[in-house]
Amino acid sequence: MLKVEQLSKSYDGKSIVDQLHLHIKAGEAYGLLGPNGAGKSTTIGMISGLIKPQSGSIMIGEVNMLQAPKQAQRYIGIVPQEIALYLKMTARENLMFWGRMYGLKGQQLKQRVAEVLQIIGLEDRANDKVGAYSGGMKRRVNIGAAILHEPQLLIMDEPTVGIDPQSRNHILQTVKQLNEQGMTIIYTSHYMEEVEYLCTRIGIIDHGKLLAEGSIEQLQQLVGNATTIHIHLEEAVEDEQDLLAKLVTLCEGRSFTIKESVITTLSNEPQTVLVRILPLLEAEHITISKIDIQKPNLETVFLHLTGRSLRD
Amino acid sequence: MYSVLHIILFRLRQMLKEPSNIILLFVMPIVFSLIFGSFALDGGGEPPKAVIVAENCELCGELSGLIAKNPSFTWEYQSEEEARTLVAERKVVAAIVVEPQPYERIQAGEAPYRVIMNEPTEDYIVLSQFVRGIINMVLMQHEVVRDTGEAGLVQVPHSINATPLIELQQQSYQAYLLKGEDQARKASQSTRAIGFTIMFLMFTLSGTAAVIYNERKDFTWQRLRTTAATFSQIIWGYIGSFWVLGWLQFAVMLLFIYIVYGSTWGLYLVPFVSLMIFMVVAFSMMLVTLIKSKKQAEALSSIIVVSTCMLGGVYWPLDIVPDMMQKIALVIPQYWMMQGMSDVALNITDWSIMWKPWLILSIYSILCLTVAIRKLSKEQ
Repeated sequence: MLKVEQLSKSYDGKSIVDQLHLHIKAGEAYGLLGPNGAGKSTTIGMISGLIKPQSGSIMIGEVNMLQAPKQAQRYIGIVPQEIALYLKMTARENLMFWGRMYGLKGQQLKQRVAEVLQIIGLEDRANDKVGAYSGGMKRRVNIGAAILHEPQLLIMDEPTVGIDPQSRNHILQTVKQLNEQGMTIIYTSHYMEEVEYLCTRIGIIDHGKLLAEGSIEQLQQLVGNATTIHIHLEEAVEDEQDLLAKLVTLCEGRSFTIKESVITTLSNEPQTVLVRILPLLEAEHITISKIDIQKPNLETVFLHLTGRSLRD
Repeated sequence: MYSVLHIILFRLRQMLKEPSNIILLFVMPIVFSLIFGSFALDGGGEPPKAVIVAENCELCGELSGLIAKNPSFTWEYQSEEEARTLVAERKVVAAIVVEPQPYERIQAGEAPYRVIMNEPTEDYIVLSQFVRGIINMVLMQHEVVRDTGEAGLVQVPHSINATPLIELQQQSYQAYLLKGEDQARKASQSTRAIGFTIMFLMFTLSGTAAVIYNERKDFTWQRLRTTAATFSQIIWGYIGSFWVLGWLQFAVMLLFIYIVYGSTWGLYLVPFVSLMIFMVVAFSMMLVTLIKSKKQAEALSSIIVVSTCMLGGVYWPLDIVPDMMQKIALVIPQYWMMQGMSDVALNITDWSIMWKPWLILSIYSILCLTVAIRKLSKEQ
C-alpha cells in the first residue's frame, strides 16, 4: 500500500528525515514511534503530499505521490495532530464541507456524512457547533473528516493527544474497526499502550532514521530480558550531571537518564544495579519515594535504541 | 471549477455570518461616507480659479468666451507671462491660451487652444475635459461652415456664446462637461465617499484575508491541500470569495451614494471597480503571506491601510498637500484608485486620458498576487 524509499528532508541544512525506508502492506496497522523532533510529522507531511522531500520516492498503491499528488491523495486520509476543523460550524456542516472538497456530491455525500457520524458516534450531537465539543469529540470529528472519502490508507498523527480516557478508548476502537474492515493505518503516538493495542507492526524513528522495525515481539527481542528501572526521587537533584557521572562510573558505563526527578536505566540484573546505586544515593542525601521495575516492553526497546524516553 | 465555486460560497457564508464583518463591510463605510461626503458638499465655496490668455482679435474673443462660459471655474484674463507665474505658484488650476492666428490652426485641423498646467489635479481633469470638448466642437463646426471663411467661423462660437448653456447639453459633445458645476460637485462628493469605501474595502479584505493565516495555523489549509482540490483551485476559490465580498461592499456603497448624492457613474464603473477590488484582494493576500501572527496582521494592515490612504488622497484632496507628498502619492495604489474613480464619476471614456490608473493598478495586482502565490506555494 505504501512504499517509501530513501526519503530525505532537511531544513536550513539540518537533516530532519534521513534516507527513510518504509514498506507498509495493505490492511496493516503500522505504528510509528518517536520522541518529539524525531521526524514523524515531517515524514507524514511528505507521505500525504504536504511537504516536498529533497530526495526519495513515495508510492501510494501504484501511484507516485511526487509525480501525481492529487491522484495519490485520493487514496489517503489525514488525521492531523491539530483539530483541522471549522469550530464555528456544526459537525455535520464540517463533514459536508470536507466531503464536497473530497469530490462527494448530492445523495452520496449526505449518505456518507450520516455513515461517518455513526462511525464516530456523534449522530446525536451532529448539529452542535464543534467549538462547543469536548476535546475528545473534536478529535472524533477530526477523524470523521479524514474517512469521508473512504481512503485506503489512513494516516493518524497523534490523534489522541490531550483527551480523556473514555474518548481515547472510543477512538482506539473506531480505528481498530476501520483496520479490521481493511483500511491500512499509519498511527503515530507517544502512548505505547495505544500502539501496542492497535498496531501489528511498529517502526521506531529518531533523528529522522528508522532505528528498528517489526512486531512487538520482534522488537522486544532486541532488548532481551532487560528491565527498566525507574527510581523516583523525593526532590529534584541539584547537580544532575555530577550524579549521572557518579552513577555511570559506579555501574561501569551503564546508561542513565534523569528527568523530572526520576532516574531511569536498563538492566538484565536490576537487583545488582540497585544494590550498587542505593548506597550512593544515600551518601548523596537523596531521598527515594518509589522504585519501579518494568518488564521489557516498547518503552524499554525505545530507551535501549534511542537512549531517550519516548515522551522526551 | 466545482471546488472553486464551493470554496467561494463556503467562505462567503462564513464571512457574512459574522456580525462584526457586516459592521465593517456596510455600516462603517456608510457612516464615514455620509460624514466626509457632506464635507465635500459644504466645502464647495468659491469655484477654483483659471486663466484665459487671448490676443485681441474677433475670433480670439469668441473662442475665449466659449471657455469662460464654464461656471465651474472663476475666469481671469491675463497675459501669458502672468498666467505662467500664476500656474507655477498654483494660484490657478491652469491657463488656457487661445493660440495666435486661431483660424489658420482650425483650418489645418489643429486645436486653437493650448493649456498650461502644473499638475493634473481633480479640477484640472474637469477643466481639460471641458477644453477638449470645446476643441472638438469648434473643429466639427468648422467643417460645417468651411465655405464661409473666417467670418462664418466667428459666428459659430458667437452663436453658442449667445445661447443658454442648457441648450449645449442637448448636443452630443461630451455631455458630462456641460453639466457644469453640479456635475463637478457631485463627482467631488462621490469620489470622496468612494475614498472611504476604498479604505474600508482595504480594511475588510486585509482582515478577511487573514482567514488564510488562521487556516494555516489551524491546519484546515493543510487539510484542504490534501483534498481533491488542486492548489490553484484553492487559491482561486479564496481570491474569488474575497473579490465577491469586495463587490458586495462596493455595490451597497454605490447604491448608497446614488441615493444620498444622486451621483451616477460612467460606462467603465463595473470593469474599473472589478480591477480595483482585485488589486486590493491581491494586496491583502500578499500581506497575509508576510505575517507571522494574527496580531501582526491586525497591526500591519491598520498601519499600511491608514498611512497609504493618507498619502493616496483618500481623506483629503491632494491639491492641498506639499509637492513632496504629491510625488509620493504617485506610487500609492489608492491614489490611482481615486483617479480612476474620478474618471468613472465624470464618465470619461477617452483612453488617452484614463489609461494610467488601469495600467498601474493592473501592475500592482500582478506583482502582489505573484508574491502571494509564490510564498504560499513555497510553503507546500
